[in-house]
Amino acid sequence: MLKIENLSKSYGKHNILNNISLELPAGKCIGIIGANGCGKSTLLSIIAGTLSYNSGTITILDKYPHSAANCSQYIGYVPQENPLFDKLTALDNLKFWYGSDSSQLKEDLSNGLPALFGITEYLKKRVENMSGGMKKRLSIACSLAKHQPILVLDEPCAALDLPCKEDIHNYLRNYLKAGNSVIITSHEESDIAMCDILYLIKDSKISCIDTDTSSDMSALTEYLR
Amino acid sequence: MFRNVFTKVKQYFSYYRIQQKTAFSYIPKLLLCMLCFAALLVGFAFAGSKLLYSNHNSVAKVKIALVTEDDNPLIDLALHYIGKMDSVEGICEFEVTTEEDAFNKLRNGELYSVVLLPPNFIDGIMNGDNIPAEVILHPDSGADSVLFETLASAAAYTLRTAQAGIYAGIDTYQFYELNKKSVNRITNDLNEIYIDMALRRSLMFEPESLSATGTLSIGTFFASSAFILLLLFSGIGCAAFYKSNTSFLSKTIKRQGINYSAQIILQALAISVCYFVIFAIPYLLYSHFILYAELLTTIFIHLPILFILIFGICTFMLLLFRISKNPQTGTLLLFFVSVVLIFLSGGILPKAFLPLAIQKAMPFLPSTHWLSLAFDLFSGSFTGSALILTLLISVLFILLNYISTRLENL
Repeated sequence: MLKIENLSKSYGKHNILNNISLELPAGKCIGIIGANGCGKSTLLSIIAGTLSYNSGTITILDKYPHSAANCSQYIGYVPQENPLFDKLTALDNLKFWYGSDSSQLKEDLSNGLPALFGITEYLKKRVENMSGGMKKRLSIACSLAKHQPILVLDEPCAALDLPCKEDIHNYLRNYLKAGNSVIITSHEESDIAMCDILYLIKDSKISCIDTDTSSDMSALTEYLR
Repeated sequence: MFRNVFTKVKQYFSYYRIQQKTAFSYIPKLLLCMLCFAALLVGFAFAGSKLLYSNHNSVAKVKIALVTEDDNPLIDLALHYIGKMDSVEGICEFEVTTEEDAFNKLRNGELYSVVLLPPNFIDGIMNGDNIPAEVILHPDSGADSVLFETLASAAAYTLRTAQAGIYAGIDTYQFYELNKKSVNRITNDLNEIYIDMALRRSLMFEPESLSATGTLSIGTFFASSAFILLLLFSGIGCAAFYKSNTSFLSKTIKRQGINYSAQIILQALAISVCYFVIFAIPYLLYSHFILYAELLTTIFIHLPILFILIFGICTFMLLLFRISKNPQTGTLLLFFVSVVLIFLSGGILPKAFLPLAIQKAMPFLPSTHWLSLAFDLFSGSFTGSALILTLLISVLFILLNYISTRLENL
């Protein structure tokens, strides 16, 4: 679904990412972990197309080059900060992200992701008046407006309550079952537990973690030190 | 291709709709901010005018004392006549008093000058002796005393010339031994003609009004400056709007196909429309009923110019907030920069009162051209240069906004 080869990113003389390579198979969930400030969000921003990189190649669905248009069409991106317009309602935000596809929006409000997340109950509510959980659900719904096959999430469950986390995890499991792929960064045990493959970023390099170790949080903690 | 263009336009319109809807939600804050600052500005103006004009001497008539020992009733008559002349009545006030009283009042600042008339002053004028009067000014009086002295000397010289004309007329009459019974009548007529001409000094001068505000009235000048300041200060109420497009949101919107320059222009456009909605009707009424402009001219020419002015200022405010770390810093920066810019552009003290170095720098300040355009709008007379320069400045600020956004999102 997604192939990254020898990706490097630096800010001036400071190397953030050095020769990063990874592959995202279809129907799989990749988790990326690392200490704070190691470059996880930077990598996700690059994959999503919101940040440039110095060298390397990224191929989408094995054929599409990594461009702004292709990123928008094939990769749904939920950053840590919710990309929502605070002064507007949930419906206004959905309308923007769905763009000209009003029929799709109508359908999704009936039985798509917005309906699944219960967003229809607070369509007229302003984003600034919503709880963190409601905002995150709305962010995910907006990011997947184009029903992209790849979803990139940057710490999706941070500061959310357990029911909300459960809802998001259930959705992601169904999303994966449909043959789509997910890349996720997180410090949450529950998020890491649903990953099929785990990568660690340390000292600007990436390495795959043994799947047995990935379920052992104390062992993971040792990796991060 | 057309489908792509259509989709693109629809995307931009969708984003503009979002920005406009967000901007409209700030109208109550905008109005509140404008009311607060308008009250502040009116307060300052009131206090300033009280400070400037509380000293009655600055706008009162010039008081001149006449000191004479001459009992000739013609002095009172002459005084009354001169005092009622158009060119004198609005400026001078004469009083006849004793020498001691006059000098006391002069020392106390109650009088501008003391005129000492010698004995037989009127007789001297009538018989041609022309004994001079003495004009005494306060020793600490400034350049205006030189002006007064010059005018008084000119008046005396004109009077002498008039007298010469009268005597020449009478001498000519007598030389040709014309009817002696008519001499008195002719003398009176000549006196009336020449003295009237000599004393009606306004005939000799072409009055020219000089004002530090140029061709603008004081009211128009300060109304225009207040308008620009109001636009700038009310941006404080929209600080959150100007800072709403955070870095990650801008990048995410860019993913949707709306590039940074479009984001900047559409955001500035949205907030400009809000200001325009507030000011359009009041300006339309002002232009039509106060400036007596044609309604169609106001709608199709003046209002678009007003919008361009508002847009230019909004791009400037957007830049200030974009380079600020947060809305609070942006607010402080906007307030400080606005006051400095308007002052340096001659919006608080007219250009004539500012140092030469500042006057030379004025054309390079954006606020100078905003003020010029505001002067045009409030006076009803338009120069194309202010409009073109305001447009160019807007383009420059959009470009600077773009550069700032690119640097932020590297």
